[in-house]
Amino acid sequence: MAELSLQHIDKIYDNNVQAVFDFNIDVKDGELIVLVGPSGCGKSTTLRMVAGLEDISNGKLFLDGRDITQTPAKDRDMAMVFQNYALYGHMTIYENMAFSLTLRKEDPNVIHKKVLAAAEILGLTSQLNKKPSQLSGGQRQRVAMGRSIVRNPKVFLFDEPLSNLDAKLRGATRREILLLHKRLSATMLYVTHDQTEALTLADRIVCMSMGHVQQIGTPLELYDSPNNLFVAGFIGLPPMNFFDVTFEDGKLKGKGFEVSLSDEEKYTLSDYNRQEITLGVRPEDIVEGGTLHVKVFSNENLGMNTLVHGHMGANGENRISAKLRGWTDYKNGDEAMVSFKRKHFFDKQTTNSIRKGER
Amino acid sequence: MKRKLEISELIFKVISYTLLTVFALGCLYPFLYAISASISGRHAVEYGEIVLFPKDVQFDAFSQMFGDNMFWNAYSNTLFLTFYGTLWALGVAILGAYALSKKRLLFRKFFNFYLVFTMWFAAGIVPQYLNYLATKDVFNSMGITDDKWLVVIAMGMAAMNIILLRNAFENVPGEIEEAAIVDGASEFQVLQKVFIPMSKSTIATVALFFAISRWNGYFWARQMISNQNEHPLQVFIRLRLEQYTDPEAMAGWNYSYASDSVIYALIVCSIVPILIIYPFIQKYFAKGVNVGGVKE
Repeated sequence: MAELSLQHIDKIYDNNVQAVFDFNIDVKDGELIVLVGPSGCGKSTTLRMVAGLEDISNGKLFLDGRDITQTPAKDRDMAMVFQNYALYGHMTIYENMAFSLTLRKEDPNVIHKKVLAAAEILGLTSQLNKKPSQLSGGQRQRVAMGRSIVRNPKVFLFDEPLSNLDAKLRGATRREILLLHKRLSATMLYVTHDQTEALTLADRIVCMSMGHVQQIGTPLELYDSPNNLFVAGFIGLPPMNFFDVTFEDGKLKGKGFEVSLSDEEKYTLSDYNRQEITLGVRPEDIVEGGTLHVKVFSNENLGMNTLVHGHMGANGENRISAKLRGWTDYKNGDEAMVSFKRKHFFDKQTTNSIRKGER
Repeated sequence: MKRKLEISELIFKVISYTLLTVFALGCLYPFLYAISASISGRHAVEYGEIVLFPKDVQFDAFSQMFGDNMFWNAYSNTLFLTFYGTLWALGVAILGAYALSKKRLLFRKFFNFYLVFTMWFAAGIVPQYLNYLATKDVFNSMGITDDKWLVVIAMGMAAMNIILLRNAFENVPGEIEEAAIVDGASEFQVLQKVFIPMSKSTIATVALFFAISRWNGYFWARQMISNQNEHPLQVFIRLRLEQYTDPEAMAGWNYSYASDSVIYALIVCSIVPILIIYPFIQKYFAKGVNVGGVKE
């Protein structure tokens, strides 16, 4: 059982640069939380504060109700997997995995059993006598995970563990981490800048930007109802299309195009009459057939879908990307007729999402 | 296909190899000469007939030397000074270098500057002498009368070697230190189980520097060790040299070997242990202890 609670946590460096602002979250036992955001958003700093590798400037950190804000890293009973593996190059794989238990002077027989069990889970049994330099990148990262598993820690921390692996290996290792999480039912904090990892792994995602938490929610919540323009643009690949539009006469009028709205959408925008807002449309919410003209300049067939890029509007003022179903074969300069299946609306000033009755 | 060397490259290579060969032979020659002279007959040595190879081979000079109790005594003193001196200096250097390699050390810049300053402006023998006197006072108050310990302890500081080790420690990736801390290692365990093994090659090099300087140490041993029974090999050689090159003392020399041969035999014996140590240490010189530990 391990419940983690971060309360009003700030990180201010000695040079007065603030990296994290008022971070709050209660992590439930066995939950996998993914911190996601672009480089420099404060996600790794937050993880390092939880690990005890960085001091917490303000706020409190609780583990199972116990205040561990000032507890040294070595006494927090957390294990961490680093981006660049951080294996002990002078030790064998066995010694690497047994290191933390050896430090605690556990019975060698128990250590042996635990190392073998972890190696078995991760498929490293035949590699135990090798040195890290003799292993591939994926195997090394598995050793780093094995080093965490043997300890049976209260919390697992992952700092961009897949960043150094190639695309194929990344997918495989991601599935291994997911299986590991299911198997151990452990509380995990996982940092990544890759939204695919965030969406596939997380029970809940914390999306961050410039040190501020933008939204905390399940992957579906972040994808389906993003809190603001940043989350909407960050989550989803290809990213959401944004258009400057004005809500007028029950329609959205953009540069050289008009979009009609459903009654529900009109109700949502009822407070924004004759005002400029941002319209967001996911590429996968664009379908063929409709009244919007798109002049295509690129047609990328992906198998099940086709990614079509073009310009929309009378004079092609709006850049648009659409993920169309099936195999289309538009040539450069062809015109496609499309419509928007689902729309997101954002306040132009606050960049926050406009929801029913909210302003 | 092998690339043909350009003429300028060829000239450069020929000159470099020639110079290096001459330099290597220049280093080797005195040693070969000492061996030849130590096992040559009296006439050949005294009349300068030895160029490279020995003449009228005999081993009596070695026999005389091995039969001298003072020699064995000096040898054991040298071993003592080398062993404990290296151990102590290495311990001081490792702890100092580890602290100086940490960015979180308070006044780190000042301490590093302070260390390097002593290398730029070496103040000669006076501070070292004062250091000996101060250490001697402490020893006297503790009742330690063995002057060998004085040389061991007061020689414990070597700025250059601390800088070498500090650089090696700084090269250990920060994530590995953090991994060890998260794994539950204390500061001392991080040093002992991560930094020291990962800097093995530099530590071996520094240990060799310390060992050679302690083994060949003459000046301070001569100045500070008053009891003749505690003199190391180098001081003993010097005393014998003074004695054997004194014409009056040597007036009655009437052996089949020259007195110089005994000196050469002593020199050969003093060099051999260091020659033996080299190959053992050399394997640590190979780099790459940390290969594969972190993604570079």
